[in-house]
This record gives sequence, structure tokens and C-alpha cells, in this order.
Amino acid sequence: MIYFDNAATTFPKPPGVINGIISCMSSYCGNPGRSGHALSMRAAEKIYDCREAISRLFNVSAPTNVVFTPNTTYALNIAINAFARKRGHVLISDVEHNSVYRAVASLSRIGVDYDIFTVDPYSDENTLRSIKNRLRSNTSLLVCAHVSNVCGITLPIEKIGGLCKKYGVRFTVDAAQSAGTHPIDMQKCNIDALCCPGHKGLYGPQGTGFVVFSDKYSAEGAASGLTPFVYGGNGVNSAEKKMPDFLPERYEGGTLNTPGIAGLSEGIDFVGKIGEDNIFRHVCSLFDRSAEMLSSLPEVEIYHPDLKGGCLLFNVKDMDSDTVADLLNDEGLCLRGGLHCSPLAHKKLKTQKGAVRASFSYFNSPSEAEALFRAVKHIAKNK
Amino acid sequence: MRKCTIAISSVNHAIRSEKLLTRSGIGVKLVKLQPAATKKGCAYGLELNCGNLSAALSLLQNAGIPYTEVVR
Repeated sequence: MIYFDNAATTFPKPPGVINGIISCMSSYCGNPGRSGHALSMRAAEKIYDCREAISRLFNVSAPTNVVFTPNTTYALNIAINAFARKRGHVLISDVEHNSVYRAVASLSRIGVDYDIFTVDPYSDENTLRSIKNRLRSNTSLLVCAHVSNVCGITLPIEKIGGLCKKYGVRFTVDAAQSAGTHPIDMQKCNIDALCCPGHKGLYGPQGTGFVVFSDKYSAEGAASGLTPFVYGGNGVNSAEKKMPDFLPERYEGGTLNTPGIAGLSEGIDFVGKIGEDNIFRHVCSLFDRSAEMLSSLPEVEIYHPDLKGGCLLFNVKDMDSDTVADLLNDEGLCLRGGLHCSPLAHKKLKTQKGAVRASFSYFNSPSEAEALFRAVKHIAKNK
Repeated sequence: MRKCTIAISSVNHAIRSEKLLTRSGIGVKLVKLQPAATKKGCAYGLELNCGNLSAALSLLQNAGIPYTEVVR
């Protein structure tokens, strides 16, 4: 099979990731932070090493500000609920995944209202103007994707972060499609919380994700104003009924995914050795090659072929996207049709009925892009 | 040399503290404390020479590391 569904989860994984998981499972997988015996301590140290690697990657001083989660959705729910205030106002963009859209919409239960600003992929000024026009006196939070999960639309997070700083708005970024391909400096971008998957561009296993809180929440007591999300044991202050008032344990209730995090450490190491820029250049070359070939087919419509990135969105005229994805599967190619959990983005692109997404990773090759072209051509000519 | 123990409830902050103090030339040993050793229950401890205690506490405070108490 040729795998082009890397925006959902990257596959295959680097051998080091698999070996890291096996090594953990077979030699030291105690429960971290619960005991003082050698295996518990070794597991805790392995997890701490991963926190350090993540904090270095995103330029945060305190590794303890890295909170592990099962995925990005969970991370976003933590961050959004941490910063939401009763009867407050939240801004999101018009390309958001349901992990942001639904989480923010659910805040209506505490009287939170939200507005959707318009991203102009060709003008940062227009995007910033759209944000400014929607700011209110009670706007407390802005949440947005760094890169869309359906096409190459990229938001100017450094400029948006500057605007949030100016107006005293907390800034949360969904880096589900950018972590591992786009360098992100949380300090430079004034990001309060950065939410990432471990299993996409960082090449870790499924079941891993994290939210990184900025350094302003690392001082003693600074996290006490952040609303907890999950309640339970974590080996800390066990005689108390409240969750700890410091990171990461304020948000880490229950046993962590130690084998997954061990694998994630290796994935981050892999990305560091190849280099984010080199990985991005590689997926863009596959995007360009695929877009160039597919655009030669009159039956195929490509959306934003000029916006390079890891995701190429297209439709075969007069065919349902899921049908095309099914037929591609029959030809040995894994792509995703439908709405990709992003109804807002599809509405913006006028693809409310869905589209087919080809998403690339470091492990895809130009010959695989050519196989995609041949398969789509075959489907288009035989519909 | 008399030993003192700084109680730190989180294993993550305990590891961070161990690294910080070791880098600063203060020898410490990371241990698990008995639940009854601190008022809040489960915690880890950093054992060190009492002569280094005030310097160690100062470093932890400057780094914003939440420690629970000092167990002598």
C-alpha cells in the first residue's frame, strides 16, 4: 500500500520509534511518579527527557510546562478550558478543526460566546484586520490552527501572537499539522499554550500528544488560575483532595503512556536529525509534483494548488470524495475523503460535500506521487 | 556531615531540581519519601548536605520550582 494519509497520522514510523517502544515495554516500563523503585524512576526519567526535548523544540524554559495527553484534541480541550472565563468571549478562525470548533462551542454552558475570524491566505493584514474587528472588551482567548488540516493555508501566528499580547488576549495554537515541519518559537510568537500531536509530524506513536504552556505559568502558584480538566491520582500530594496547583501534574491525572512517550522521544530525535526545514522541503516537493500532474487532468479540481504544504486537496468532477477514496484504496493507495473533521475549512473552500486529501510525509517518494497520478487518472477516465 | 532532605511532591520537579542543583555543583540524591514524611502526602526528596541547604533552596526558588518543605 502507498500511504498518503499522513495528516491523520504518519505511517510508517522511523525504526528508532518502534525500538524505543519495545525497549520501554521490555526493560523498564514501571509506573512513573508513583514509586521510588528503579523501574518507576527510570520511566519517570525517560518521560522527563521527552519533556526536555519538547521544551527545547518550542523554546520554553521549564520542561515541567509540558503536559502529556493522548492526542491534540485532548490537549486543546485542556488549554481551551484552562483559559475560558464565564461569560467571556473567544475568537477562532474559519479553518478550525472540530477539536477547536466543538470545544469552543461547548463553552456556551458557562455563558461563553465566540466569533469566527476570516483567514486571508494571501494577506496577513486582512487576517489581522478580521481579528481586530471582532475583538470585544471581554475577549479572553484566541484559538487557531497554525496550518489547516485540509490544505496549505497557514496562519501568521507570530503576528497574531503580537496582536493578542497588545490586547491582553490569551493565545492558544493548534499545531496538529505544523509540529515537526514548521519551527515554532513560543516566546517569539507570544503563545500561551501550544497543542500538538505526537503521532503526526513528530513521528511518535498514536496515543501521544501534549500541550506546552508558556513560561509565564511556570512560577510557583502561576498555574493555580488554570481550570483543571481531569481529576485523579498522579502520585503528588496524595493526602489532598484538590489537583496540584502546578504544572504538569495539574493536568496529568492517571498513569501516563510511558511506552508511547518513549517512542515519541525517538520521533523528536528523528525530526531533529533530519531537520524540520528538510522535512518540509521534501513534502512540498511531493505536493508540487502531485499538483502538477493532477492539474493536467481536466476532470480533477485542485483547491489552492498555489499554497504548498503537507496536504493536497482535490476532487474528481461529478464524483463523491469518499467514492474516489474507496476506489484509490482498491488501487493500493490510502487517502481520505469527506470533511476531515473540518466543516469550517470546507465551507470556506466551498467543498461542503467533501474532498479527497493526499497528505505527505518524509517517507513518501516521487514515484509514489506518480502512482497517485496514474490511479486518479484511471478513476477519472473510467467514472 | 548532617543530611537534610528537601521534599518535592512531583517527580518531574524533583528530577528538574536534581539536574539544576547538580549543574550548580550541589550534590543531591533523589529518593522517594514515606507518605507520612510530609503534610501533603506522597512526595520525593532531594537529600543533600545541610551546609548546602540555603543555596539549594535559593536556586529552586529562583527557578520557580515548588518544593513542599524541608525534612531534617
